[in-house]
Amino acid sequence: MSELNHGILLQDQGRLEEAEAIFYSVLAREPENDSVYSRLALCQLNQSGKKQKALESIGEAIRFQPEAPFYHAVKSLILSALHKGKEALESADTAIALDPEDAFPLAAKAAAYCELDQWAKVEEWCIKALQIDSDNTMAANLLTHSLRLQGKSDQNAIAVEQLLAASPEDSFAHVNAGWSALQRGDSRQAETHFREALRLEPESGSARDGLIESFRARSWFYRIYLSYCFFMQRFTGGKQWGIIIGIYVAYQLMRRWLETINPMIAAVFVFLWLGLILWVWLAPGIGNFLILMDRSARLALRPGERRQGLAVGGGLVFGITAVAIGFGLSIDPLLTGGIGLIASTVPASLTFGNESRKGRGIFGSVTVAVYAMTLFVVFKLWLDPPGSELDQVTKTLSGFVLLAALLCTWLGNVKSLREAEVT
Amino acid sequence: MADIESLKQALAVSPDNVPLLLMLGDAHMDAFSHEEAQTTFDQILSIEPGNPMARLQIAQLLDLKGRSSEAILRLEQLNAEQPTFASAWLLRAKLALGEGDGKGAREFYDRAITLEALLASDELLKRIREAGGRRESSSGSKPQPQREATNRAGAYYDPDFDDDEFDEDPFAAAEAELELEFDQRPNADFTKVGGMEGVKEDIRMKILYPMENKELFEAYGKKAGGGVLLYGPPGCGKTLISRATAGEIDARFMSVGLHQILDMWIGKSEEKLHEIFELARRQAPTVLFFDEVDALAADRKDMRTSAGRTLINQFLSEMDSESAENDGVLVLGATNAPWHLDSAFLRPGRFDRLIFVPPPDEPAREEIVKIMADGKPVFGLDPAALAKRLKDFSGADIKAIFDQAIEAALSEAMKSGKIVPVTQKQLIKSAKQVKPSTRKWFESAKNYALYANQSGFYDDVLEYLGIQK
Repeated sequence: MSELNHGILLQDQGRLEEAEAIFYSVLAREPENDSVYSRLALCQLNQSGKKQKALESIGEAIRFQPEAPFYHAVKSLILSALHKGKEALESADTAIALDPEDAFPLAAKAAAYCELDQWAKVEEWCIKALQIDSDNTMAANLLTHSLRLQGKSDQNAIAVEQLLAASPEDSFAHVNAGWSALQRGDSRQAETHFREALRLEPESGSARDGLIESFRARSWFYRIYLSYCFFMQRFTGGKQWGIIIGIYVAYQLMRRWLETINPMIAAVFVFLWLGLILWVWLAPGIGNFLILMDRSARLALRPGERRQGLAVGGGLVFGITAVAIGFGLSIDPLLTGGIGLIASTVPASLTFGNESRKGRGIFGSVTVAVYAMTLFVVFKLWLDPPGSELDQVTKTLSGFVLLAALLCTWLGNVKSLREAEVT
Repeated sequence: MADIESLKQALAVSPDNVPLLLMLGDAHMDAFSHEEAQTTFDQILSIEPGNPMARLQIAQLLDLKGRSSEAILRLEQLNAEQPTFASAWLLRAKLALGEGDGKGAREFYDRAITLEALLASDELLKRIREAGGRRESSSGSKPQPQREATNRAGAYYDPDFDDDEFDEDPFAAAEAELELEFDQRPNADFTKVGGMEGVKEDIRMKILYPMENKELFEAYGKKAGGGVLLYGPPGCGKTLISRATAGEIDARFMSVGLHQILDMWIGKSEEKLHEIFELARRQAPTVLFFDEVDALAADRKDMRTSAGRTLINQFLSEMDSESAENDGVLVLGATNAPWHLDSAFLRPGRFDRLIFVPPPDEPAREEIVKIMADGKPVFGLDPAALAKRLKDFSGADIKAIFDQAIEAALSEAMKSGKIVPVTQKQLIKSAKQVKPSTRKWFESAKNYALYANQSGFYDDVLEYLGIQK
């Protein structure tokens, strides 16, 4: 076993940083070894913050061996990971043109369509890849993923069954099976699959995320939220915005129409609408809060998710209690504090566990502003003589802060404010 | 270049500052400005005529200019005058190698590493061996005794030591036959390892007591020897504790590196592994230590080449006491990634005892701090207080803290033109900038301990993390 073989072993074991160091060392001796460049690229592709380097490495491999379809297919996968779906398609097409009988470039093309949210195309190219090589696990996994996202439950169930029969020791196959079970609403089955995926690959991020979702989905209210997410996943980003705006316009029309019939009914409708908005944004945080109650399940949470659970779940529990007591006993500071805490849960749910630095900055600032304003108003009400009203400046500032918290429900739909920038 | 300018500015304030001049000379050498370097080192010799470092660098410059014979003459003189200056012996070894004198190179190399073990270089040794500089059993260049070598700079070579006692060493002969060399005599025992009492007790229970009370353990169906796997985050003393274990049981210690086994020719690696085990069996009691054992005992599912698989099969067969007589051979393996080992290695008779080596505890960190500060201009050091702040830091992390603090002090020294000591405050500041590398390891280990711990192998990790499942 040479140094290169040792590097390959480390790569196969998923010890990518160590493998990368060895590949660099081999390249220092053999600077024109294209296959080492392609291995280096694959190592970098699967590490965070190194996708751009991966693109450079595969570029070197292509420079030395421009006729190798595998390298163009790897380039396509890297471009997909960099959210450059159209360029990824071009690279996949180049690879397919060089060898139309190779399944890997076809699967890479399916992955590029994944990036573009074109699920029917993903299905089409996965089937083409599987017709050439029925053991191609990447195509098989992408196929089940695309079927699930298109809502083709029966076909998905068959595909998952076949996938597990063919690769019972493949962690990703169990992840796929877990998501299918979640979409069916079977959180126990999902949990079993995600646990198996983690047993096979304890460091799999997608399996851990799935396990967390299955824990959250133990509660019925979170399963409703998941159904909404699964429904929205079927559409591309633009269509998702269209649906959100459409629902909002429908709400406004409905509210105005109800106001003409009975203002009381309209008020109840508005209340329900706000509850729905809160539910959509707070469900993950409440889910994490419930997981925190479970001694075993909480071990799976990351620190950010724990904080989100405490800020959102804790904020809601204490906020609602304070509002109830404050309203019942007419204690204004308690009532105001409760409202502030409830309002803080929206930006807080978008702050903790958010992978976007920009997003964390914006939503974090709003959360801090809500906490600060709440504290200020509570102390002011506490210290001022009973019955006295808040001054206009405080009222205006409080209004702005509450508006900012409400605005977060719109800003939260901006992908770049919720997802990490891929580099 | 900026460094050279800063040094020159500092020297303008203090023109006779030898440490600064040495740094300037080194900087010129790094920048390939050989003439300027020569002038600087000459200037040092005009201030301090016997300065060994300046003389060494001048010899090196002469060699770079192609005047090797003159360089060797100067080094001979330096070696005669300063026989404990290890770097001079090492350079002499390189020059001898350049002249094609493998045996001579080997003699000088051995002297250098006997004086300062940290100078050891596998690459240089390999080149020397290729040039004929092998440790010989009965004639020619002789193996250098290791008894005065320590891990720390400042150890010395004992010129009165009788080299002849190694002349008939069958072990050295076997090594020569194998074309391999091992660290033979452990120069440590548990007294040399600060802190880590929990690990030591674990080793006593799982290794030492069974070996000391062989009959008693056999009466209970337990046996001495076998395999023990040490695992834990990198840089936390697995190798040191293995050496100390061998020292405790007074056995021959054979440290086997990955590079000593891996061979590009099919079948050669397996052959070497077998020979190493055979050698250990012949020389029992022996502690056979495999560092980075996860590469040699990798999970066969992760291996795509059959060549790798056969090596693993060979290793399994060697460890199996049924197919070979391993009495008195204790196999110690160290790894950062026990989860990548083939499960067959964890079965009874193989690595059936696991010992978790956690990051150094407070007394161990205090020891490391003292060692790191040794010989450096550190002022007002409170090792205990510093160690208290360094929870989860590995030995390598603590070294990084010292390096960073020393760099800061050097930068200050260059500005002021005088020696600026490293202070406790500076070390604490550096400690805040260096993140403990063990945390990343524990992130991975936690996942394996939570989700892939069906046999309870990683319960110690969970206990260390304070997790109750």
